[in-house]
Amino acid sequence: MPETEGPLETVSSQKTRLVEALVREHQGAVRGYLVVLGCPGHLLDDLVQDVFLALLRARFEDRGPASTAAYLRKIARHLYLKTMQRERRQPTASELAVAEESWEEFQGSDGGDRYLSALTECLGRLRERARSVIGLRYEERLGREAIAARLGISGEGVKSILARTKRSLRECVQQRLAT
Amino acid sequence: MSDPRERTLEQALERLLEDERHAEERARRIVAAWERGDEADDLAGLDLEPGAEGQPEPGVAGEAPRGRVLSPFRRAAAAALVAASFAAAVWFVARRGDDAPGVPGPAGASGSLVARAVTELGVLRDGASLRAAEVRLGDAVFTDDEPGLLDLQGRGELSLRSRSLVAFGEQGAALVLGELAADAGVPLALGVGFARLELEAGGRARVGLQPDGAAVPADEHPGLWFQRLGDTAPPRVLRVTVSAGSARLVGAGWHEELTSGDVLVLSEQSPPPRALTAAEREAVKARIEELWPYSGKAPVMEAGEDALDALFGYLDASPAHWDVLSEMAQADASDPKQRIGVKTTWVNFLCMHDGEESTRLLRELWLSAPDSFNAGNIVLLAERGAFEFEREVRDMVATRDGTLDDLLLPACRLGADGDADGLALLDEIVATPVDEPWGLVRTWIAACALAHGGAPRAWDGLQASLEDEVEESLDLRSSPRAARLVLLAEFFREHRAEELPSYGLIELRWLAHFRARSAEVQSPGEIRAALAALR
Repeated sequence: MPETEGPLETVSSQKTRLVEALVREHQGAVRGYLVVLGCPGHLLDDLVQDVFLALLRARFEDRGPASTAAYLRKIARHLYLKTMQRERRQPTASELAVAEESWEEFQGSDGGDRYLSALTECLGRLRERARSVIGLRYEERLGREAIAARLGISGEGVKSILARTKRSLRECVQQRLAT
Repeated sequence: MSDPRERTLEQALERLLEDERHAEERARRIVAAWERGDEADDLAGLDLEPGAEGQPEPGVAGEAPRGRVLSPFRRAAAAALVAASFAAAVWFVARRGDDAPGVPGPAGASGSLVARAVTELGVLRDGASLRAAEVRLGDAVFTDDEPGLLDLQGRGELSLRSRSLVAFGEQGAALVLGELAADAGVPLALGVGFARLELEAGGRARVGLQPDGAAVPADEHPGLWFQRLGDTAPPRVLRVTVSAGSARLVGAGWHEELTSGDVLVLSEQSPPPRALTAAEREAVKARIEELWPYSGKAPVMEAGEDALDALFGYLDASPAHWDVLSEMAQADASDPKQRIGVKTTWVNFLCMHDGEESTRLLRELWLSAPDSFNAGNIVLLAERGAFEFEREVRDMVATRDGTLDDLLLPACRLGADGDADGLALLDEIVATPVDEPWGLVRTWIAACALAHGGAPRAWDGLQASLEDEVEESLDLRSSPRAARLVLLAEFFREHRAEELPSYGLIELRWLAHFRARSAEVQSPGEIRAALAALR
């Protein structure tokens, strides 16, 4: 009916915008948390989607970003464990505990800002070749062989540079966080 | 990826560097799935009822998307009904039931649902033993070799370690025997044997209950064994570690206030307990320092086994002693100004103790000071079953990140089990020209691991050429080299004969053998005699 079409559409699109905002605000943290728990890459997108769908399905009350993030983490953890059980790759309790600790270390009291800031500084100190490999891998999301072709080195060479660079970034970040 | 720290870096790099378009695209896909009415995959067993997120206050009453997701049309109609709520900037509202979680007291009618396990666990119910995910009032839940995770219906979570038993009665959950980590979504009371632990909302604690000095029969489940013994069951030792928030431990006629970081260990037989006072902690610390065998320069092994045994004996006498040592180690490991030598000494020292406490502490140090671990430490802890070190070993071999000396022991760890990457790396190591004297040792270690892994050619070559090499060295008046060759053969033949060889401590064991025997095998006569004994 034309009389009601307008208001219904308005409310519906308003709700969609709110959902979009929710997903945009929290999807990075949900992905990050699942990665730290150990979620395999090929399951990651599906699991992130499921986490948000589960939240949207549940009767949930918005009590601010921190509360929402905590709730999303809880759902993510449940769904991750369920999925891993199905894949027969369930983590042990101690594996989970260590992963949770790592995530809490990353999050700190500022949602990870300090870690990311330290990482930005450390990225700035990389040598050109390492910076190129990291950029192609994470900015352009290229695979190892594609990076190798782009830079004219072997796939093994890319693997080795990535491993070394990540190790040095990890150490650099830890040093900065410790000071 | 080797461990959670690496995964943390991985996700941070992605968040920092990823092109915004990718994130936007993913967000669009999720919203589209929601608009289509897609369901999350396999939600069975999850409690997503109001309060499950652990929010203590009741929510705003009203309409909300619940049950299955509505079609776009029905969603629009429903949305009209909640326009007022949206106008108030509340985008989702929850309708809470009357059973808002609180401190568990009577948890409901007998047989009512009190917890849900993520995976099915052993459950004792009405005298029968079964597997179930739903836990009801009156049940006792037990884990076998695998741990288990219990959701307390919005009150929090209990993460049970393997071979633990938890009973659910009118007063809530109670650990009978074993170990668990409690995560309180709301104020949570937990029976812990002869006391009750009260956690504030958001509090976390690890609790262990073990028989005091009594051995559990190997073929019995510890919790079931303890329960079966009834009145004749041995007293238990309770260990509580509060990792977040504050808690109160309440016993018969006593109570103890605990805050984050506190560790309390007490026995069922002990007088009214309390945490170590500051003075007692200082006394324990002083005793540890008195027994500390590290001279400041000499390797830990040089302190001698007696000195190590004396300190380990003192530490093992009480978990509280380990707690004090743990604090000392953590303080050094997390101090950026502390010399790396001090940190590596801690790691080397702890590696000499093969026990649960030392392994737990080493795992913690790995998170705070990974640079303090050398390849031998990493391999040793992998051999002791610590998953993060096993991953590190595999990562080191896969990426070949390091010198041959760095990679030798990780390659041995994998190669001795027949792993192709490990064997290939060991082949490279034995084919590398030898620099005296360490290169010789490296070659023998690698050849021994290759032989264990089913590739004995290098090993056979070393044995076949041993006598000629020794005689050649003696002809060249190089007795030290000849003696070293004989001692290497002595040591590694013994190691080769071991069915499950350990490579984590092999360098230290070799050094100990060399030091013990080198004074006895020096002259050409002594060398030839030792060689003859090997035939």
